[in-house]
Amino acid sequence: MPVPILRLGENLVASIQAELTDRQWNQLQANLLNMTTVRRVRGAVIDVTGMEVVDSFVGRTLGSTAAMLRLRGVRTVIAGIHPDVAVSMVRLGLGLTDVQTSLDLEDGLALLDGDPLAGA
Amino acid sequence: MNARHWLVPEPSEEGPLRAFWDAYFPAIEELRVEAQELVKRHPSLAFLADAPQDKAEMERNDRLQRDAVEKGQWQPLLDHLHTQGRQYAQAGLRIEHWYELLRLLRVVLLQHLVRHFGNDAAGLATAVSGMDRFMDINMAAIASAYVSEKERIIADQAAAIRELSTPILRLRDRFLVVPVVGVVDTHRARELTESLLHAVRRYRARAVVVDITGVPIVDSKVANHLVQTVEAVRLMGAHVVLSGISPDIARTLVAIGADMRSVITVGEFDLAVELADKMVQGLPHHAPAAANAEEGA
Repeated sequence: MPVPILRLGENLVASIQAELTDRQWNQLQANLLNMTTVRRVRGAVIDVTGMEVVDSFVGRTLGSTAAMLRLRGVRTVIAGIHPDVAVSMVRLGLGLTDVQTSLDLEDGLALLDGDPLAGA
Repeated sequence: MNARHWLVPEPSEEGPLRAFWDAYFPAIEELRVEAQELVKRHPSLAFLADAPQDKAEMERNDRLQRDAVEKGQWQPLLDHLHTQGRQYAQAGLRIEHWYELLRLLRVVLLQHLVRHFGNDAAGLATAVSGMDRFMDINMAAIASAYVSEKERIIADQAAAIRELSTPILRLRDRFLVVPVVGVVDTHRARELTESLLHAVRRYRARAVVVDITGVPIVDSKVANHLVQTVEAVRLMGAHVVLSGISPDIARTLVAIGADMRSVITVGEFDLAVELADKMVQGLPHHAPAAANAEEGA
């Protein structure tokens, strides 16, 4: 089953609830990009709260998805990275240094709506 | 310990040691009194002369020395000297006092040997070399125990510093402060990262200031740990400012080529708090450009 992508105003929300296969990741990436062609989209939050493991493929995919969306004029926030996941990502060298991050979905949306307090 | 102790003399040294001992031992009481006189008049050793004399201990010492030289039983003596050296270290006695004490004893002994051997130059030379060897064995045994005891004390203290836990303080709502004190090694860095990340989640932190004023040594390894901690915190959506890198540490980090570009650093803690406040409020601020790449995205 593909990850559902919700539209909230001018923002997209993709909430990942379980571990995805590489194929599902590629599909999510394509779906997010495609949705930016249909209506006006200014921001996207990829909520990874449900993920307890992030391998190097997933880490790179998160980074590249954000980079692709940026080329489409969409600001992307990765929300809800679990503490243990954060540690393993840094160890793998996946610091996502040019992607914005937030504590959870709520903060992610607030960040997109211009609340500078909501993320890093 | 079955292996021969490194301080046990070679068979070829037993002759000179014996020659010295035979000249020394019969006169041991007078020589001791003479040496004590010198100690009393010595400007920095006088305090030793005031110490109460333990007669039994002295006799035990003499017996052990005698067994060593006369019967070749060195191990009990070396063990005893080892214990003594450790006790001196624990008592905070300075090792130079011991060298000075032995030097005075050597002066007394040398005069005695010269008197004893008279015109027998060859006998004197042998006994003097025996004396030197005897003194060196004693001193080396005490000094090595002294040093290893001091090293043990230092290692204990380092372990104690390492085990200091790092408190994570809430300065304001959603604003955490982490004062790191002591040596940061891999184990501690891991624990620090873990507890900080969970605190970020629990307090829903938006800003974290990590202050390393209390970290004595920052090498490339420690720098790497700090960078990883900062990056992990940022992945959770909080801004991080690192403060307390002293000019000396800054110099070291640059000299060893530690890559801290992904970390926003500020010299002093108060300025770090100010900067973190500005960052979470989206106000313009001055911070390294690379570190703020995500701000403009």
